[in-house]
Parts: sequence; C-alpha cells; structure tokens
Amino acid sequence: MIQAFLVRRGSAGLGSLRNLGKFALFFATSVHCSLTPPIKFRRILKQIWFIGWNSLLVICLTGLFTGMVLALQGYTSLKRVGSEAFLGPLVTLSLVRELGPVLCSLMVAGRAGSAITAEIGIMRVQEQIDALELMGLNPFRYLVVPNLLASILSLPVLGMIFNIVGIFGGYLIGVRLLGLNEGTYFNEIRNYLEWNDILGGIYKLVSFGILIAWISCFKGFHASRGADGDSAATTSAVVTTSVAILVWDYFVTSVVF
Amino acid sequence: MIRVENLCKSLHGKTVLNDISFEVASNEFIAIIGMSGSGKSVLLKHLVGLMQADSGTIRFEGKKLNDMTTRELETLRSRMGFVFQNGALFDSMTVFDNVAFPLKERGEVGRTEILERVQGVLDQVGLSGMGHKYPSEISGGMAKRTALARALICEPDYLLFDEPTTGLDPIIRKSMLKLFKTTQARLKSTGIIVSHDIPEVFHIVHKVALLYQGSFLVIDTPEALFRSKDPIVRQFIRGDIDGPIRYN
Repeated sequence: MIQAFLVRRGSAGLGSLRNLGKFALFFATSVHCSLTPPIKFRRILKQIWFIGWNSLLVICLTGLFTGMVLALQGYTSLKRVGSEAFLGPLVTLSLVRELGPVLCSLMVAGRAGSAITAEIGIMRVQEQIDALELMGLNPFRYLVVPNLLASILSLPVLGMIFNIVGIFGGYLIGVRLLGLNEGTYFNEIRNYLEWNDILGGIYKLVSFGILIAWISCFKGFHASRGADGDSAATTSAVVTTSVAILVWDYFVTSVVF
Repeated sequence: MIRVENLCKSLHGKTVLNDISFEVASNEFIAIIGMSGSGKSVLLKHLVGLMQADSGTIRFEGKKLNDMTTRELETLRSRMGFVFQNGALFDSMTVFDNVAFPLKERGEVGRTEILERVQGVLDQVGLSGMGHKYPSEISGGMAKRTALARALICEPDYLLFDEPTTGLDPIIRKSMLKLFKTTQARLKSTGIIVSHDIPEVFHIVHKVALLYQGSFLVIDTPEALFRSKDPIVRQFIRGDIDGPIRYN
C-alpha cells in the first residue's frame, strides 16, 4: 500500500517535471525562432492589430474607471490627513507603478490570450498544425513568434494608454467633481513622478506580454483532442496567465523598484 | 523510396504496430487497408515524423528519418503532399489561399505564377470558381478536393493520403481515386493511400498491404489479394460478417 502510494506520487511528480520541461523548451524554441529568420512580419502586424488595437476600447474603459475609483477613494483618505493636494501623485504612481501594468495585462490575458489559446487549440484539434509541419513549415514561426513579438510590442503601449486614461479619470473625479485645483493635480504629478517609475512599469508590461503569449500559445499547442480539450485549455490559459502575472509582479516589483 | 524496418509502437499499453517492415519503391503506389482502429493512420503518421516509434527505422532514400536534422526533415516534408482524413484546411483562409499557402510561404515563385498554378490545380480537382469560398462554405467533398489541391500544388515527390475519400458519395469517391492515380502517374510520385474503399482502391494501386492485429498479414498486388485463399483476407475484401475477423 505504501509502495503503491509512493509510485503514484512519484509518477505524478515526474509528470509535473516533464510538463515543466516541455514548458521551458517551448519558450526556448519560441525565443530561438524569434531571433532567427525568417520572421513573418505580416503576421506580426496582424497580431499587433488583434492584441493591441482590438484591446484598446476595453483598456480605455478599465483605465478610466480605475483612475476614477482611485481618485474617489484616495481623495477621501487624503482629506482625513489634510493632504488632498497629493491626489494627483497618488493616482499616477499607483497606476504607473502597479495598477496600470497589472490590470492592463489581466485584461489582455482575458481578451486576447484566451482567443490565442482557443485559435491554436482548434488548429491543433483539426490537425492544421500538423498540416503546417507537413508542408515543411515551422509552426512556431507562424503561430507563436507573431503572438510573442506582437504581445511584447503591444503591452507597453496599451499600458501607457491605460495610465494616461486613468490619470484623466482621476482628474475628472478629483478636479471636476470634488473641486481640487487643476494646477495642483498636475503640478504635484510632475513633482513626484520619476522616469524610474515609468521604466519600471514598462519592464513589467514587457515581461507580462511575454507571459501572456508564452502561456496562451503553450496551452493551445498542447490542447487535447475534442471540444472539451480546447475549452479546458482556454480556461487553464486564462487562470494560469492571471496567477503568473500576479506572482511575477511581486518579483519584478521587488527587483525593479 | 521508402523503407520501413521492424517498426513497433504501443499506445496506452496496447501494441498498435508490431514489427512492421515494408518497402515502397520509387513511382510505386501502395494502398494500406485494414479494420478501423488497426493502426493505419498511426503508421502513416510515423512515416511523416508526426509520431515517434518505440523501435524500428524509417528510411527515405536511404536516410533514416530519426537521424535527420530539423532542416533536413523540413526539406523532406516540403517534398511531400499529405492529404488528411478531415482535410485539415486553414479555416481562416479561402480555398484559393489554402491552396496557394505552401507556394507563397516557400517564396520560390512570383505572384503571377502562383495565380496560374493555383487556378490550374483547382481546375484539375474540379473546383474552378470556388477559390473565393471559405472551408465552412463548401461541402465535405469540396473540402477534400481542396486538401488534395493543396497537397498537389508543389508537385510533391511523395503523396500520402489518409482516408481521403471517407464520407464521399460513390461518384465523387471514384472520381477522386481516379484523380489520385492520374496525379501520381503524372508526377511520378511515390504514393501511399490509407483507404477503406474496397475494391475501388485496388484499381489505382500497384500493391496492397493488409494491416491486421498490428502487423501486415499480406503485401501483394491487388490481383493476388483477390485470388487469396487466406480466410482473413477473403473476409476483409468481401466484407463478410462471418469469418475469422470478429468485432467485439
């Protein structure tokens, strides 16, 4: 009985190790294909359109309301200690250093990451990836590299847009609704926002972009056969990416800031 | 030339291919027949490197498939035309783009030539004027013909068909099989077709291999199979319910 238990645990552990190895190998292959020709520029542009442009509306909406709620909460808290003047820096630094990159990436993971997994998963199930291979073409160059590069390029831009719209949302609530002085709001932002804050946010966005493309493509590539397999892969991709973003965020924050 | 030696494969603890050995000479067209689930498609996937054998070797023109570098394997595959059972068409592309895809991606020919060659091959498979449609807008037979057109566009040295006529009506099936034969003869390709279309497939191939319980029971000419006294071969070719083959 003990032996059976140990065998079960052991084989489960080995299975997890194997999957981890596959996951790492997938990333190494993706990076190798991203750095060596031929690069499919048209597909990269198409994916930038899909990941970046098509996410713009949801990013703007999320950014606007995040900035608005930050201003509303922040103003109330700051007023208690008589520091309402710092509302601008509070909203801006919260967005630029933390909420912008994280929320923006979570939104992209939910919208574009899930679609990438579903698309690649269906291609796997319908043997379209096998068909690519049998034409002598490398599926990584068609399916993974464009998503990886598009994600790396799109996320920082989306994150910056998120931040700007969020700061504007904070302005709407803080200045227009709650009566804070407009000059104070923007001048204090100028006084307290540093380049390192912006750069740190960009580092986060780039690394989250890599995570989104890596996990989404991997899950799609290894979707099991059938509709169930594809839906399970999509769900798993969104959950795994979201958790990975939050965990990775802690480590990046501790190193960068 | 394709040579397979002592190929073995087990899936989920069950032996699917057991010591398979055979050879397909250049310009030869061979059919692999056998019961459903007997491992025909698995064998075909091993031949193109989509699945790895537990043991045994596969050689293309004397070179071991397992010893090939990624680039060599890609080069070999670019000389193959493979028709999947379900077509495996790219559903985000039109019929024209599906067929043109391998040519475009190789970048060896100009736009005008691509247009001419795609139109030509679509004419051959009876799909003239259907190039603008998406796979979801065409029938199963048309999808299979599109898959065939895509496999033929680069005029491959090896043609591999995995049950390409399953689910088609008898007339289209016969016309497709005839098309396979004429194409294989025209291109002087080495061909393997996995099929259940007995006896129609016998009329287009040089040899037939019957896969039974993981091994080839017989590899011979279609005429020899028709004359065979082996009860398993006879039952399978005639489609008799009674006989040594039993479905559980």
